[in-house]
Amino acid sequence: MIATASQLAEVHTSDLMDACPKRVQLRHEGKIIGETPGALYRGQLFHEAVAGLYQRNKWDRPACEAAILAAARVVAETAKRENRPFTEAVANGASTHQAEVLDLVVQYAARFHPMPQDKIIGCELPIRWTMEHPSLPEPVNFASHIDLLFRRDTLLCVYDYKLRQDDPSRAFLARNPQLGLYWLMVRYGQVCIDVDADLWVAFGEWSAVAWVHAPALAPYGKAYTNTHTGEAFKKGDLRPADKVVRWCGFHPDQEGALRDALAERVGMMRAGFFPAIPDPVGCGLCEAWKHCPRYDAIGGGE
Amino acid sequence: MKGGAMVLASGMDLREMGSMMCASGFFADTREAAQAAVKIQAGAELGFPPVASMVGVYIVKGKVSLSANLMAAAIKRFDGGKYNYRVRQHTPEACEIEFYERGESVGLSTFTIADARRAGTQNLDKYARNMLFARAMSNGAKWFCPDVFGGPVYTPEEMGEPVNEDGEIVTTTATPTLPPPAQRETPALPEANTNGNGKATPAGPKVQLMETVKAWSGFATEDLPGAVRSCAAAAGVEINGKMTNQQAEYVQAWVDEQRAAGARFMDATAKDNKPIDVGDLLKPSGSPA
Repeated sequence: MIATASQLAEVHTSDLMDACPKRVQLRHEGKIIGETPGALYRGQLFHEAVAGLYQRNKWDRPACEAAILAAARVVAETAKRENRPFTEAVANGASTHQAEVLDLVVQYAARFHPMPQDKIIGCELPIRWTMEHPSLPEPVNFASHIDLLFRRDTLLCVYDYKLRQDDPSRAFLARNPQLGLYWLMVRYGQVCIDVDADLWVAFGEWSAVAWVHAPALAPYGKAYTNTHTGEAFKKGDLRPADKVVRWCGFHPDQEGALRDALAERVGMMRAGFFPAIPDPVGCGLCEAWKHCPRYDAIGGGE
Repeated sequence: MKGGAMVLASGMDLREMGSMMCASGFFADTREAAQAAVKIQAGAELGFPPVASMVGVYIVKGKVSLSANLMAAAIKRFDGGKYNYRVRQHTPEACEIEFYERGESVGLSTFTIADARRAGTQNLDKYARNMLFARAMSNGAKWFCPDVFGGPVYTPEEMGEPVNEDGEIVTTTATPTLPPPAQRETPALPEANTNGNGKATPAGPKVQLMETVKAWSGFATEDLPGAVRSCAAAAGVEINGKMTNQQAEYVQAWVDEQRAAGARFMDATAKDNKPIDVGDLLKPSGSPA
């Protein structure tokens, strides 16, 4: 089945960076497995817990523990509401996941909670932007949520928390269309910064966007020496702050190139170009595997 | 049971009736047998048969709400005609209903277009008379006929549910789809969006209000929702949940009046300041003056 333009009238930011386009297509067609596996559970826990800390503006360990417990309740309720039950592994090991995420949240609270010059605008804020491009017959509506929006001195800043991905390189971040899209959405789109009253604003400002690499909040598991700087770390030392908060450094001069890349991907999706890109590990974890064609005796898919 | 016995067809019990109603697929707002059973039971306690209850009884936020016509029917049939009412005025500007107990007038329930705009009533532009009647009826039921419903009674619209011209909850029959994992549904923009190509579609009332308040207050963008809330409070508009376009228009009229009078933002929105009454600024059509 080929996704139509109307099915893709709205594109989520994460569609743009999925390693397997086929999965994007199957997701848009609703062909996903209604489960909450461990990786998704941990990610949701972290996001909810950190949002809770910002909401209460308390950052000590008891506050983190309370935030994790509250987050666990919210994640469980969400899973139930969306008919996405926990996998058996999550159901049996929820407390282990919570303890592991708690360690990360405690480190985040201790090291990255708001500095005096930071003005928190909000967590999990809905954002929308309609982009036109010469190569697209119809404009494309982008929609997403911003994990954390704040102002540091006069600069608007965006944090995007990542728990599941590999450690990103500088070159990868500089070419990351998902985070680039956040950057353009803040510049040109509208952000709902009062969700209760449904009040949206247009900042019209360039922002700084950071990939917050949550796994790097954990201390080093073994001794490590940075070959570039010569700095040595013992087992148990904390990783440097710039290993956690990775600023992307997007520059307005490159806006056109980024728009072209976004339009290219949207054009591919609208044209029904969703090749499956098998992954040695990812295919075994994919939430759409039941509907993805396979070529052995088992077969399957459409 | 007064005014109409509840008869379940062919010996069905409540659970079976709920299952049947739900399985019929005719009631889009009720997807589970237990929900149907509760609606039937709630309607039965007010003297309504099952189908009427399925159509006109809603359970919203734990409270029983009734469509206005069902409310009116319940009042008329209660206790052998203890209560009655007469609609004294019914225009797009106001609805006035006089209530009687044992034939004697006990009071008037009036709901005006200004009241409706202050309360953020839905559908005023399309069905003003219907919406005013519903609110006047539900207020009168609370004030003059409390024993009919055994407590406060609300229309679905009062409970914040989207309703049609008959005051019935609007439901979609579309098959719900799950959002992909980690892709939460992003709420729709309440009004026009802008794009990065210098084009913008006409702004809706909330965007217009935000821009006006920004110009008036001089606040930073991220502080505008707080400034708008301050204006709403000073204008006497209570924002519970989403701000409606009608509320935005009302607050806009208040802001325009304050600015025209030369008031400064901080003075006009100070908590101990008595704001200028802008009730007369609202035209019957709904457009702020």
